[in-house]
Amino acid sequence: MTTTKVASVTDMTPGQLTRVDVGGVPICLVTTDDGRFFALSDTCTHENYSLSEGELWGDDLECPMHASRFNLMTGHPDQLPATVPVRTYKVTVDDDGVFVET
Amino acid sequence: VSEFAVPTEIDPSPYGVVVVGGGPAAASLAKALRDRGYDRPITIVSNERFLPYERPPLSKTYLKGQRDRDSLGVLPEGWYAANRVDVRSGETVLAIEPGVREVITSGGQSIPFASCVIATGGRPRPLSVPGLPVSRTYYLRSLADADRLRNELKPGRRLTIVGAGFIGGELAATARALGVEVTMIEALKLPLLRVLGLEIADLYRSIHLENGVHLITESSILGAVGSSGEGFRLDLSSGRALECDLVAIGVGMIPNREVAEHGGVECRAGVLVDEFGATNIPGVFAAGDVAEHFHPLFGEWMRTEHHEHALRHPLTVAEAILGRRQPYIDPHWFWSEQYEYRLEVTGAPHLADAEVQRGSVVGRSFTRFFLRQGRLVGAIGLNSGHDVRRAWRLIASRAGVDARALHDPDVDLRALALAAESQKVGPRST
Repeated sequence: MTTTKVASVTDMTPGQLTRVDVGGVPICLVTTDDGRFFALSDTCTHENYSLSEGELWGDDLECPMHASRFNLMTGHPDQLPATVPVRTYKVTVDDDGVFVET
Repeated sequence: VSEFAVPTEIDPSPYGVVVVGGGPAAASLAKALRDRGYDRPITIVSNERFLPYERPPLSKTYLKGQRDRDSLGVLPEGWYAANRVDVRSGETVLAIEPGVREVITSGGQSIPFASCVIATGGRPRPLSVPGLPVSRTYYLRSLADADRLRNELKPGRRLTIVGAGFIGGELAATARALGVEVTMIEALKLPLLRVLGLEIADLYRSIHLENGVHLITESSILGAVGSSGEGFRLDLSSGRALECDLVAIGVGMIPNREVAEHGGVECRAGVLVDEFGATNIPGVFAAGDVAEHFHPLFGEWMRTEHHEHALRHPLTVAEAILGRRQPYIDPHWFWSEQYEYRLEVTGAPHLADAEVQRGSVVGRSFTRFFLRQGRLVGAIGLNSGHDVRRAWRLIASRAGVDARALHDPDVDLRALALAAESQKVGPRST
């Protein structure tokens, strides 16, 4: 288990998706509209598109190409075309920043 | 979770669901039922040799050889067996007998059902050209069609495409990328004219020309004459003639409604269903391309031939089978990729009484919004990021929208959509 700082809290704005690289793995860092943080694998499991280029709707992350929707907490797709979950990562926040556990 | 927890009749029979047809709608329906805990038998009768697959890549990445067949499955191959869904591949349903609630298959079996879902999709509208050899005529609907065409798209081959619609346009773009010489013949004066309107259709004309497509509009093929070697000559209505090696036809789709019609199911162009996916016969539903569905948002009967609809419409049917009435109010959404351009369309632009645009058609990055009585009813976007998906949400919300806000590129459409959804009115909250 590695904990990596990926951002400063002040960098993050509500509703924002940020692609970060942690040890060569692309991760989509999510700040929800009400200010919570989540981290998911950035690669859509349907086709290889970057989820951080998608959009956040409530607690779902929508792929920009074909509208697969992944739940921020579980990584499960709640509708086709994706059928396979994306991996989720634990996020911790303190005064020093936003950290992702991989 | 259903907002309409009004159970219809509880069917005491032990029989399950028979799906007539094995495309994306069939797969989506089966998954939706199992996801919702439906545990009775599900049988998919499919005239395809393959499990349900995605069609969008067939005209693009699959045709280019960038995807293989195994990557096209709507659901993972093992899903069907693991979820006790019986896929009868290579069989057709010859008859639906609603009176006794069974279907008769080409394999000579009768399969009883509690619910039958007609998801037969459609077939390419055939075009008969005198003198044109069948062996040189291609369509693009199924994986088999794509496989046949894939072998022919080689540098220097001369392809004539009849019909500059979405299939024709995507095929032209793919063929050009593969070094094929492309002529596209269109009956109207511009490609995609009926769907996109004059200005955007004219942009598509320019795009095809820039990419080396020989576009001949307001024309049709009168006949073909064989010549030496593989090639032959096409005589056009304009009096011109052109040489080519193969002809691909993309002049639309005919809904496969016959089996439903013969079973007494009410049909117009497609199989008529209400907003819950139900036909006039109890226990018989229709979904996807073949279904002419009443759309409560637009107040019209619509038939929609797009992948996303084939995935979403069955969710409503699954709910109805489970005795829950959730109207299908998805505003529809589809995309088309041609060259470096991605078009997205949502809603029913033809219903509009006003239009407003952000971005520019000349600049080739824009979204055009279509309003009726102060509400958004449609959007067409080209290389316009998230705009059309945001519009899709605004349409579904039925909220009034300010045309100036839609026009102003500084107004965040996502924020607008979120605000509209938070005060959503409509069937889901009534």
